[in-house]
This record gives sequence, structure tokens and C-alpha cells, in this order.
Amino acid sequence: MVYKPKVGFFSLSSCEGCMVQILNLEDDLLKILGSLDVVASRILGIKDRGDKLDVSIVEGAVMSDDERKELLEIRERSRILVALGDCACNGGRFIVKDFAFKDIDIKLPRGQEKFVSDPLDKYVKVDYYVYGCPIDQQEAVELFKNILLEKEHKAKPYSVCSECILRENACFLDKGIACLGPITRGGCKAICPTVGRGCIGCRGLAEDANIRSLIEIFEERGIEVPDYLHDMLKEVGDK
Amino acid sequence: MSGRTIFVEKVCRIEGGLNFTVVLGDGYVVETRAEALEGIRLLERFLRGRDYGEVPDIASRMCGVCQAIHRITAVQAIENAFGISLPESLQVLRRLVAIGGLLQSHILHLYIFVLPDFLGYSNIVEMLPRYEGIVRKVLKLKKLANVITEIIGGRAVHPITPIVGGFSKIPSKEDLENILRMAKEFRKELLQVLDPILSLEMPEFRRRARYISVYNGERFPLLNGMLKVDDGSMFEPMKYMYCIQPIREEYSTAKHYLYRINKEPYMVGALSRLNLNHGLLSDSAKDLAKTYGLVFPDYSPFSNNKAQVLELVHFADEAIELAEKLLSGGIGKKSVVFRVEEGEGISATEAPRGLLIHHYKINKMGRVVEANIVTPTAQNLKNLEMDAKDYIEFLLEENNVKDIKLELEKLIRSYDPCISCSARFLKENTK
Repeated sequence: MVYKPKVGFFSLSSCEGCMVQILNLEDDLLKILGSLDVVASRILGIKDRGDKLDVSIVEGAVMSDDERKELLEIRERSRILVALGDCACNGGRFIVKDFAFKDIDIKLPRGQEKFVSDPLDKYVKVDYYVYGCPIDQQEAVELFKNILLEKEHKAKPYSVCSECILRENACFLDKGIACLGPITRGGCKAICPTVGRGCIGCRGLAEDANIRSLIEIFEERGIEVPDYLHDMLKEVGDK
Repeated sequence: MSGRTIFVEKVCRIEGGLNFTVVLGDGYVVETRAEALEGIRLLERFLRGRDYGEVPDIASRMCGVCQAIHRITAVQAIENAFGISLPESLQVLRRLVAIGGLLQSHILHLYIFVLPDFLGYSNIVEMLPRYEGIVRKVLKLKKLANVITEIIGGRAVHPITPIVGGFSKIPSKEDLENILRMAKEFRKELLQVLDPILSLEMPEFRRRARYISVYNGERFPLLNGMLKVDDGSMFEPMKYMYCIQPIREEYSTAKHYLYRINKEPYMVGALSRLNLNHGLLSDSAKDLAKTYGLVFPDYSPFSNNKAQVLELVHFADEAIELAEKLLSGGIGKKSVVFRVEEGEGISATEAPRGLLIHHYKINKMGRVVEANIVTPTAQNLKNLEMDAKDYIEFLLEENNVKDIKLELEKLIRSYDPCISCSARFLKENTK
């Protein structure tokens, strides 16, 4: 019999854009949904009955105690847990670029004491990471293929530059324009530089990211170094 | 019945986490609560101190469903602060990318979130065996709308190219021809799936609310205009705080809002747009309204669904018109030169779910001093609570209710709520 994994889709605090990226795979969506046994998805209206799961796909950051409990419960019944998007992989840090959540002191509703925005792996073991804000659609297709083939899903280790070169884009740093491509994990096929913007680093750090060196390059070429690069170096560090 | 509570946990087929609680008395409703669960995403807080150029990238992450509109509204607000005005062709291109986002959002809502309710299914996967034809057409429509956004914006979710002063990249003539082809195909396919929604039997429930939308009197509202209220008042966008008033509810991570003049709830979205602007619909959208006997103003919250259908037709017509205009006149330069200066800027637009306001104060270094974003769903929550109260009392009176909970969910879904957008910044503790 063909393996039809039991899959659950879950959303913690997020814009749900990563799930929308999956819904936007219109050509393959029915094939994907047909090859999986989807047993939980709030956005699709498939009610979670607490089944054991082969794979749980979780987008969003943990921003409350309820979400932490929900995540622990999902982990408990899942064989494989996938973190989908920057919020799930990095707590959304690489999109808002506040690495220390400095000085955030606000009164929160619903009995919440402190502002947090945590990646899933702060609380549970994450098996696969799908990076990006939003995730890349092709990488989502790769994820589903790997799930069906029971293969390990590996994120791209190299930087955005590796893909940018393949698209024959002129280098933004050479033009004196800020670009985080050299330190940012690839997999997006350098979409931003391809449409005329420097990389904003939404996919988090590449395996061999050297933030210090990027800061030097910025300085050498007279590009204003954004404050967050120093914070990133201090809080996350080189890889 | 007295003392009973109806509790819908994590309403499905909407964007974001929302619990809904109804406290029942003896034949009446004591209280209704729309309890947003999404973590407060503090985007305004993160925007403070940032360079103006970063703002659209961060602000667009407000929502993954409303797509282009957050980015464009942020960009327009900053342009307003710097006193930048764009040539008409770039404004048309902005409008076109916003239309792509709106079309996809309405399709997702009407056919993937709402339609299963009325056909007796819980999701489109269940619908497949009997309605595969419609489901496939719907996915095709969704794709066509997304491709329009992608060609102009670089990506459907969180588009990339609209920047302060114009675009980082503009479509080629061939791209524009593709957009025109997509828009025409969208329109043709759309006409084949309208009937299933327009002929749905909606509940008889009516409650006249307050309706607010952007209004400019010339074009169906989308990217600019005044704030118009159905009591006849009009407000300059910069005076929005005289029109609406945020309030805080301890049970909800979303801000809630009231109409400031008389502290009553109000509604934004497709129904409000139609109630205040129905005369500006395209001819074919007007004809369709006539065919199905749709008359505006309409005071049923469920009519928001049908209002969205008419908007689909209107904006498909407009997409064709705009693409033709750009093809014949050309786009010209991709951006204008501007100077960064100290200023305050605002933009009031219509997101798929209603009035959206971005407001920024920027210092002479081009850094954000203060940011405020008013999202549609946050504004709708109080009105939704009021409608839920009256609708449930209406059902209790009718006395033939099979499933109050399901009816309540249908009402909630008619609003097309987007909870992620609504979970907003509250007041910071002063030290």
C-alpha cells in the first residue's frame, strides 16, 4: 500500500503567510492534499481530533503560555515536527530584526506577563526547518516530496549569493547598496535581488555566515551599517 | 437556557486564532466576546527607530492573506510624509497590484472558507468528490489573481517591488500583456462560478450598523480618498482619530474600535464599501446586482459575501482596463527622485477586509519616530459582537435553530476576519 502520512497543519502567532504560500501552490494543491492524510488544519477547516501524527507542520512563533502548551502537545504526538517559516524557525527575529527585544515593557491582555516571540526549538525538538518570510514555494514542494519519500528534509546550507550568481544578477554590494545576501541562507533563488532589491535577510543565517566580515564590507564600500547587524552579531553571533 | 454559554474554540476557516464566547440569559444574550488569541505582534514597536526604507518590508508582515495592500499603504504613508507624488502610470501600477491581492483574498474567502458552510461540508477536500469542477476552477482563479500580483510585485505573499518613490522593478511590455491576458481569463472563468455564491440562501437577519469606508467619489475606493461614514460625515485621513476610537478589552489580544462620534460599533469591508460606493461599480457588476436582486445599502452582515462577489467582477473589469491603459500609454520611469525630510504621513486604503490606515512620523534622519496602524478586522470586532448578540436572539425567537454554534460560525466567517492583522500594539508602560 502507498504510504499516506497523517499530517497536521498548525498555526501559532504569525501572519499565516507561510500557510498561504502552501495554499498558493494551486497547480499541485489537490495532488499534495490527495497524497497526504490531512487530519488537522484550522485554515482549511479540517478539525483536529488529537490523532497521532506522522508529520506536524507548524508555522508561527510561540508568543504565549497557551501556545507553548499547544506546541508541547503537538510534539508529543508527532513523529516528525517541521518548523515552517521565520517565525517558527527563528521567532520572527530575522524579519523584524530586533535581536534582543530591547526595552519592551507593555501591559499584555489575557493574563500574559511578558512579551516573548520564541522559535519552536526553544521548547521542543524540531526535525526539519523550512526557512524564509515567507517560505519559498518550491521548498514547500520539496518538503512534501521528502515527507512522502520518508527522506530527511535538509535546508540549503549555502548563502543567497550562491543563487544570486546563478541568476546573473549584478552584485548590490558592488553597486554600494546594502544587501544581506552573503550571510543569509539560500533557498529563495535570490528573489529580492532579482527584482531589484538588496537581500533583507528574512531566511536567517547561512551555515558559514560571517557577520563581522559583512560589516567590514559595508564599511569599506561606504554603505551605512544598519544597527541591527551589530545586534545580530552580539546576540546571534557568527556561525 | 439561562446561564448557558456557547463557546466556539478556534473558529476554523478564518485567518488567525479567534475564540468566540456567547453568554446566554433566559431567551436573550447577556454578552458576546470576540477573543483574539494571536500573540500581539508589536510591529509598530519594532518600526520605531527604523529607517523609512525598512518600514514597508516589516509592515507588510502584518498579514500573509491581505498581501500587497499593507506594503502599498505603508509606502503611500511615507510618500505622504515626504511630499512625494507619483506619475499616474505608477499609481495605476500600484492599483493593479493591490487589485491582484484583493481578487485572490476574496476568492480564498468566498470559495475555500465560506462556500463549504452553505453546501453542508466542513472543507473543500470533502467537497471534492461532488464539486471537483468548481474546486478546480476556484484554484485556477486564485492562481490567475496571484500571478498578477507576482508579475508586478515579485511575489504574491509579501510582495517586494513597491518601494518609497515607486517600484524597484517594473513590468516589461510582455509582462503587461501577460497581466492583461490573466485578467481577461480571470474575468471569463469568474463568471462561471458566481452563481453558486450569489444564489445561496442567506439568513433573513438584518441589523443596520454604522458603515465606514474610503470614498473619493470618482473611483471605487481602493488606494485613496476620505473616510466616509454612512451618517453623512466625512473625515480627512489625517483626522482619523476624530472618527474612530481604539478601546482595549482584557479578553482579546486585538485592539477593538468604536465610532468616536457616538461610541457605537461600526463595520468596514466589502459591504461598507458597497453601501457607500455602489454607484461607482463597473457596469457589468451593476448588471449582475440587478440580475440577482441585490440592492444597496444592505443591512445584513451575511451580504458581505455577496458584496465581495460584486467586487470580484468590478475589480476584474478594472484590472483589464488598467492593464490596457498601461499597455497603450507605457509606464515610463520606475521611480521618482525625492528628498528625505522630517514629516508626518498617512495613507487610508481599502484592504480586502476593509479600511486600513498606516500613520508614521519620521525624523530628519529618515527614521520612524512613531507608527500607528489601524487594521480592518480590529475595527470590525465590536460590530461582530453586536451582530452575534442580535443574530442569536433572532434565532432564539425563530425557535427552529438546529445548530446555533454553526450559525454563529457562519456569521463570523461572513466578516472574513483576519486575526493576525488585528492583534495589535497596546499602550506601552511609561517608565
